[in-house]
Amino acid sequence: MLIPVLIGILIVTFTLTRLIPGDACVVMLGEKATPEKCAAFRDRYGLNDSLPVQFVRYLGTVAQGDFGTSVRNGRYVTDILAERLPMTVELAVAAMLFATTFGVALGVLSAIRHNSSVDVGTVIGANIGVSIPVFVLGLLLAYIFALLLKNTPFFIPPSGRLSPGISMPSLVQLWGMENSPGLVQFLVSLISNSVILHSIIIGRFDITQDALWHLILPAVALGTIPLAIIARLTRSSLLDVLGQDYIRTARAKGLKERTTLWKHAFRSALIPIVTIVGLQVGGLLSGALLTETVFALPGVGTQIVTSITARDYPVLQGFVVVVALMFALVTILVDMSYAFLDPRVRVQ
Amino acid sequence: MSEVATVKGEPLAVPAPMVKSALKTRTPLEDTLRRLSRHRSFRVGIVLLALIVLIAIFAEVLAPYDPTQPLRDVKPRTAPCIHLFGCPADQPEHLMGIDGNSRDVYSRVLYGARLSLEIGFTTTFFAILIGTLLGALGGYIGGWTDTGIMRGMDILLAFPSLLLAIAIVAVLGPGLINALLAVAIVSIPIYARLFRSSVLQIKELEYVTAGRAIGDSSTRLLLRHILPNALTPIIVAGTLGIATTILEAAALSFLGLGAQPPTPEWGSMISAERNLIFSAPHLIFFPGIAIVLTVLSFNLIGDGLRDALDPRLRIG
Repeated sequence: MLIPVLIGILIVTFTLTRLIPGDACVVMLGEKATPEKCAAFRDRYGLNDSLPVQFVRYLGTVAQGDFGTSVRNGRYVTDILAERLPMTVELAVAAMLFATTFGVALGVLSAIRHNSSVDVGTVIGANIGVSIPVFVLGLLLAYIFALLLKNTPFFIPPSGRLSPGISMPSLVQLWGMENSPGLVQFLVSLISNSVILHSIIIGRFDITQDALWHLILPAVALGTIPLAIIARLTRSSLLDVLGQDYIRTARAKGLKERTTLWKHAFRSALIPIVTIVGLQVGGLLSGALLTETVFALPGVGTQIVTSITARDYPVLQGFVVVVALMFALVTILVDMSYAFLDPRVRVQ
Repeated sequence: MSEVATVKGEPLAVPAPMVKSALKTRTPLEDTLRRLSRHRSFRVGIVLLALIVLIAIFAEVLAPYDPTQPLRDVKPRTAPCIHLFGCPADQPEHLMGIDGNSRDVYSRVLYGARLSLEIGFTTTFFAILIGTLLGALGGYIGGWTDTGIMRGMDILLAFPSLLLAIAIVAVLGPGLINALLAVAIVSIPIYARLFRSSVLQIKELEYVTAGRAIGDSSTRLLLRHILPNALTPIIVAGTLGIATTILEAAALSFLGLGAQPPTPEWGSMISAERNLIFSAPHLIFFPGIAIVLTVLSFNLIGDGLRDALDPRLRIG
């Protein structure tokens, strides 16, 4: 299942980058492109071979974890990935935690208090929540919490990842791993670039706190649309289940309302909820692009936008493949979680 | 319980003259319209959309200034000046203030409504057209055609939508038309899948077999018998799709990949002034509200249509 999708993703990204109008050499070398230099360039990147040959070679390099180097600054794409990916993962996880916690809570609350003011409020709020663009909400949140509440305890910083002046030594340097194999270095720098994990590892919890504080507004901005969708679905699927006969049976045999709700109703309502949570991850990756732009966060999204404006296609290609791969993995994880939640699927 | 409700919902087998005298029969269309008119969020949505459509049609009449030409004798990024709220009467009225290029924001927001509706409708229409065509081909012909088309759709769905749209714009080059094409391509798989599953269900029904038996051609079967009956889910998904399309097109413009200045597009208006949110929040606020209201109207109408048209949901 994963392999065909992965190959498909690679074909699409490969084709898209080959479809870029104009000579690749001129696009990449710019004004320096002379016929001699272009001939050397084509030889170096194997652009004289047929497209299928190029694609197979591309598959080979990607399988080895090599996405090439940036045409702008010559850095390895994998290095840039190791630098940018942790930020986006932190943001996405924070947003998803926010969305799931509050979404499920609001959904359950409005289902058990059907037609109450909480319920009506949730439904109206959820409708507005799914209609507000991430970047508008982000800017409004920044305006409210960083300007209007500036001199109050509710002030939250509107941009950046850490307060100015805070920095931590890279774990690769700290642990003297400059000569370790590439994959180990890549993994260590992934952890090192996740400010939250890094600060916990070296025991600087003040930095963890600062990082989390900076993450609040982006996570809320990014998590609001998923929150609204999760709340709506939790509400409707729980309402549906609560109307079923077996819930009446549970109540009739004298079970406590709490047991009926959580052990009988919520468990069955969970399957559509997990599906929708999983589906939100794709939207989350799209939204992260915008959130990072609004809050000036050095993540995957801002790098993709920069690469497009700078026409840095190897970087763009590598990042698109990795993001699509992450998305595909999450989809598969969601599919697998059904078996855990629904015994009927396990039997099949 | 629901089974009883279904049985009750079935028309009773009473002789025709009796029915005529006892209760007035309604056509399915009347039935749907009745349900829609009772749906609260549909009513709110339709009023909101009607308002936006009117603004879009009469933008020239309603807008006091040209949306693209800088005004003379105004300071860039001045806050709104509304006479009713105490703005001195000798100053010209600017309901939503002045933008960074000395243009009247109110006029730009009004014209933006026209652009956003055009974006929403054309893009979704294009996506539906191609999507249903692919879905119909796959579902009706089956076999390798089906497998090929659907695997292609799966791969498009494997990308986060905005990311794929960005990649497509990177290839085509920034600009409104290219951005719309990208957004449309990204939403094709949704309609293709939806329509294919409807076609698969309907083509096995007896009236289609009957049509085939009396010698209807494949085209006639598809267009006359299958298409009209498979359209309902597409209408619902399309309405909600317009909302998504407007959001995505605005996002592309916000990233500088869609509409280019001085086009009065809401996303690009926000993009142009986003760094000045602290000093001139009105330049973000008004286009932002405009996007929210437009998207909201389509979402509300979509919800209403789904409740009214989808019989499976109606019972629950």
